[in-house]
Amino acid sequence: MRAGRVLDRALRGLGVTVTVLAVLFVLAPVVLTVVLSFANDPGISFPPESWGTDRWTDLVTSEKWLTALGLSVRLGVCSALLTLLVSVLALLAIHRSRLRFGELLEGVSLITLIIPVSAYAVAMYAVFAQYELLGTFHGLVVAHAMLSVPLVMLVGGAALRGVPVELELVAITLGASRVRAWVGVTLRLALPALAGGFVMAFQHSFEEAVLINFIGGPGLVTLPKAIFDSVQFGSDPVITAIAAAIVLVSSTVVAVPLALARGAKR
Amino acid sequence: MSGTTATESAGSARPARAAKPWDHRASATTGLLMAAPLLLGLALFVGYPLLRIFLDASSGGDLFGRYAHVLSDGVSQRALFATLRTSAVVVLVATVLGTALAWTLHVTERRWVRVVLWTVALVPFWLGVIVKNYSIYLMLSANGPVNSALRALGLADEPVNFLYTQTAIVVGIAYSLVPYAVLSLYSAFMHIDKELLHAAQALGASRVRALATVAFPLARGGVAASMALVFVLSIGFYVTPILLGGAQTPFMATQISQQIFNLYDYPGAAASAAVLLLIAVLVVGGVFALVGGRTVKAALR
Repeated sequence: MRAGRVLDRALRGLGVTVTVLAVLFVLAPVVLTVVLSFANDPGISFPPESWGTDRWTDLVTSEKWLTALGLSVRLGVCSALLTLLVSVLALLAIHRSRLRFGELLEGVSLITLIIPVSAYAVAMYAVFAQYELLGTFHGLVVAHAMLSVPLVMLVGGAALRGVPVELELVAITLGASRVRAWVGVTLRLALPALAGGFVMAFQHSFEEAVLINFIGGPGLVTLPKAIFDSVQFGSDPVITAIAAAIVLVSSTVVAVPLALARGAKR
Repeated sequence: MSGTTATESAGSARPARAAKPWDHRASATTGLLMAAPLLLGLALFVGYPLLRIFLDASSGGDLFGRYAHVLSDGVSQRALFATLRTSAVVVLVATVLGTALAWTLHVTERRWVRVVLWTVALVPFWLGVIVKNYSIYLMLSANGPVNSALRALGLADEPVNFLYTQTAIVVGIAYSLVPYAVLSLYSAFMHIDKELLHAAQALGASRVRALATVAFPLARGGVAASMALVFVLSIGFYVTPILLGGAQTPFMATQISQQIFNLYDYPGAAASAAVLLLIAVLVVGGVFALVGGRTVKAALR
């Protein structure tokens, strides 16, 4: 009995220790990045020897980084819109039509979540060469959209399951057309989740750093690719500011829709 | 699906004009048209590319030669083993940290703990692999905080070289995959009734025994699914091995990139990719057979 209690206490201590370590492991690098973005040292050293905002001013005056940022944002918005369009149509077909094999389609659409991404990139490289899409903006939009489809299918599917079909029936009984009932009732109720899905899709495209190396060609340099190339061949300190900006923006802006999506899911 | 009962009640509410009762659902044709963009996308940009890998790997009448090369050539063998070994370590690290976070999230009654832990679990999820790896790069660099701390504690006189080692790759990949482990483990733990543990302890079991004989058997399937997910994602990592391990480090991703961009050996790269895919299919399929599709699908949420 006593040995059991000692063991219990040891286990609890171990659990707390590992949890605290996990928290530190996750937060330390992120906090460090933000802190170092305000260091003016020529190289990376911690603790920094001088403080300042040189890296931030370098960032906002650098054409190279702003061009990459612009491309990433455009790509993110276009691909997220395409993802949303394709997924919402498919979700309505799966949940609100007599289409058979809907469940199967929903499962198959998740497949890109569990493919090893470097294998998928090789596959896309060959196919994009064949479709003559290598190095084209619209090709990237489609590729990014296909990568984000599973996210919206999961979040949107959960939301659609949560909307009682009776609400649509009421709307139809009151004279609404089927499309009007879908748009006005079901999609409207699923809107928080769909907005969350849009942000997820945007973010997924914005951070994508593997496929772009294979199918982007030399002309299309997104922000992740610019950082990747730069860190690979000797790091540019401006990256610290970019990384810090991404940390700050995504932890504030993304937190809100994510909370909405989670709220809709529960 | 729940459609049938609703259909019948709707059908009786409005007397059928023809033999076919009214159905609130759109017709199968409409459904097919609406699903067409997704179907087309999946066929053209997922199904066909994956098929193409296998076709290209066996192109030119060389059915299994390139696969044999991946498995027997010294360089390539080293890359494959390094990838599998690194991924196995990543699975261990991510599962231990993920279990601690997810289980604490499940059992804690304190609101602030939950808020802190959800933030921790989700922050790296939203950052993107580049920013995450850059942060790790800063952490591990010669004058970074880890080395400064080691020197301050007197544990090292000279900067320890963490970057461009397998350890750096493990840290980088594990850092990216901890959120996946937490989310998938949490969805497995979610269904474990905490009262069962209390009951076991009230009946005299120690906490350790309650966890081992009550909680563990219930969580086992979900843990296996989570580990498979982390493993499959880990073997495909491209950015981390190159950034934190260096372009020459033995890893499947660096090998594939070499084959395509330096050797212009596309069929060889396709064979490497095909081997990765087959490993992924084996692992996911094995876990599928062990714990069932429902658990695997739950892990993806």
